[in-house]
Amino acid sequence: MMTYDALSFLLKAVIRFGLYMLLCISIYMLSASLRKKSPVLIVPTFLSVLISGSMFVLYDARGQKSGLDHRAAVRWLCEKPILFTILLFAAAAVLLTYVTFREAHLRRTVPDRSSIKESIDHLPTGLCFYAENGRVMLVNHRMNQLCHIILGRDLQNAALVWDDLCGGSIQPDIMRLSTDSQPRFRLSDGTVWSFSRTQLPDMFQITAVDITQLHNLAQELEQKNIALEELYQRLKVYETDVEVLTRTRERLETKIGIHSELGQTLLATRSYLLDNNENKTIPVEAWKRSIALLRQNIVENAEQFTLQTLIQTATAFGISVEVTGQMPEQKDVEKLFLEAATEALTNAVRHADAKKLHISLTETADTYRICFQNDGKMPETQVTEGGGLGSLRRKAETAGGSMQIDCHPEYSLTISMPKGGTENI
Amino acid sequence: MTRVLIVEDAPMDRQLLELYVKQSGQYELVPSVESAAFAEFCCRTTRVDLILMDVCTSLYANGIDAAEKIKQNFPQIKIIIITGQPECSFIERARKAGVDSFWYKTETAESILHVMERTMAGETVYPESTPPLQFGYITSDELTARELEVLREVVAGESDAAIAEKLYMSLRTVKGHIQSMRDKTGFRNRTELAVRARDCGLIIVDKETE
Repeated sequence: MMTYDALSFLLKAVIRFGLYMLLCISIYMLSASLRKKSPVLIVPTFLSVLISGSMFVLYDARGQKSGLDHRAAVRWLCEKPILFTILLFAAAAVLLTYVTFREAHLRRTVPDRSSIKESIDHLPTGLCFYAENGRVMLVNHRMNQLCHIILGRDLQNAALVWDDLCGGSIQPDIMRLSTDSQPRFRLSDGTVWSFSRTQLPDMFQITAVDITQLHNLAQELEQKNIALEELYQRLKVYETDVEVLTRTRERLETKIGIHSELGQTLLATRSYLLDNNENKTIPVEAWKRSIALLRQNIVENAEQFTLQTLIQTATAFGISVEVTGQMPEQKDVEKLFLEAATEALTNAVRHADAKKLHISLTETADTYRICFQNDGKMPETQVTEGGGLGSLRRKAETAGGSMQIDCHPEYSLTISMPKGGTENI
Repeated sequence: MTRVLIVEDAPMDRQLLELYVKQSGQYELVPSVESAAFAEFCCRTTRVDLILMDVCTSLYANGIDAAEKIKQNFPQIKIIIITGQPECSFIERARKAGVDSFWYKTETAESILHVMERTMAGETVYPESTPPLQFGYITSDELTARELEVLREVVAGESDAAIAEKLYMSLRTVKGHIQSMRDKTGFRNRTELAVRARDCGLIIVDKETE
């Protein structure tokens, strides 16, 4: 097999030149790899330098016919078949190609200072980092632009800019939407920007975000809520109106009924008198009823159901009710207390066989309290809360109040309600 | 003599009923009360044989609920539900509660006395149906039972999705029922449907269960 020594002078020169080029590129790549401190790059580059460097030195020594010419290493290499030389050459070239691709890939994926700066500059969000004294460390195009539009000047001292954003003077065509820790502005082009500041170790970060869509949606929602609230209020009024209307209609129908009955009685009597027919009789029962009706003082409108109504009802059935204190004026609490009183009255006769119910109403600065006691027998077992008491407890607790049942020294039911509470009992 | 309790909050109706009952001479009246919440109290403090009970009474107490409770505790007491409101579910609810008879206030004086007599004789007297109401282009009896159920939820202010879940039907079915009611009645939207149903007394949402 042909050896290096057997090659023509021209081919030898070409090989040496190729090795020289390979060596130069490897050394250049090695310096770049060392800068990046990446072993993935350093190791193969170093191998490539070693292979191409040693081959170049040995072949070159043979070519120069210098003193090194007869060294064992030079002889060994130069007398190896030329295929061996080509394989070594290819190995160094492959290593170098691998390093080049690997380096290009790293450059694409691992950011460096300039790539960070470039991407921050083109962020659609405004960004600024500054030291505690206001010295700007990094600021992007958007933040600079916003600073110009809103404050009419460059961003030089970021601490001062932040103070101005939070309450200083702004350009006349800019509308300030809020001045709290997140200042918001509407610019003349209609966009809305929200600024916020975060403290990082040894520095601050200001961000500006375009919240136009969010802001518009929030406004729309707010308007819808107002409209809904109005609708709800109208419905509440309507609900009351409908009740009044229904009652009026019922009353009218009753009146019509009375009227037509009276009319029919009159007609029947008239027919009896005119015809003088013996088969017919005077409608005595109907007359009796009509006369009694006309005599009676009919009350048209129901009075409001009050504690007084409850006392009268109880008295009519032989139970006396004793009340100390005043019923609260707050409507929702009054309603709940009336319900509780009705329940207490029923329970007094249902379980305790009582003849007297004592209701005590007290009031402190922030609560109304109602307490029920009766003169009946004490409960023999633990009081279980059925439908009535359970429902009362639920209503009281939902509205922020409380209900308590005591059995010692005597049975009592107490409900406390906060003043000025909800209207949702 | 049969002792009768009248539970009615409208003073005019109460006085008229008292008069009819008194005039008949067959009944003895116990003092009338304004709220169904007192019905059980009355039954526990005095002997009552028959109750004439309104549905919507003071303190938002529902006469049908009160009747159910009384029937459980005092099965011997006869109860007649009386109402002036043509709400479509009252008759069925009254039947479920075990109420003996049912009477619409729009009928004549004789008829209540007649119903009382038959009830005391152990009969159960119910009107054949709710008096039909004009509801848009149709009368209320032209609505199906399922449509009425949906309408009740619409009046209570539920959304279509909530109705679907509550009545175990698909959203499409709920929308279909509402559309069908709108087509029949000629009302423009579900709000009008709800308002008219409430207004004419076809649907009355129980305040306590709201």
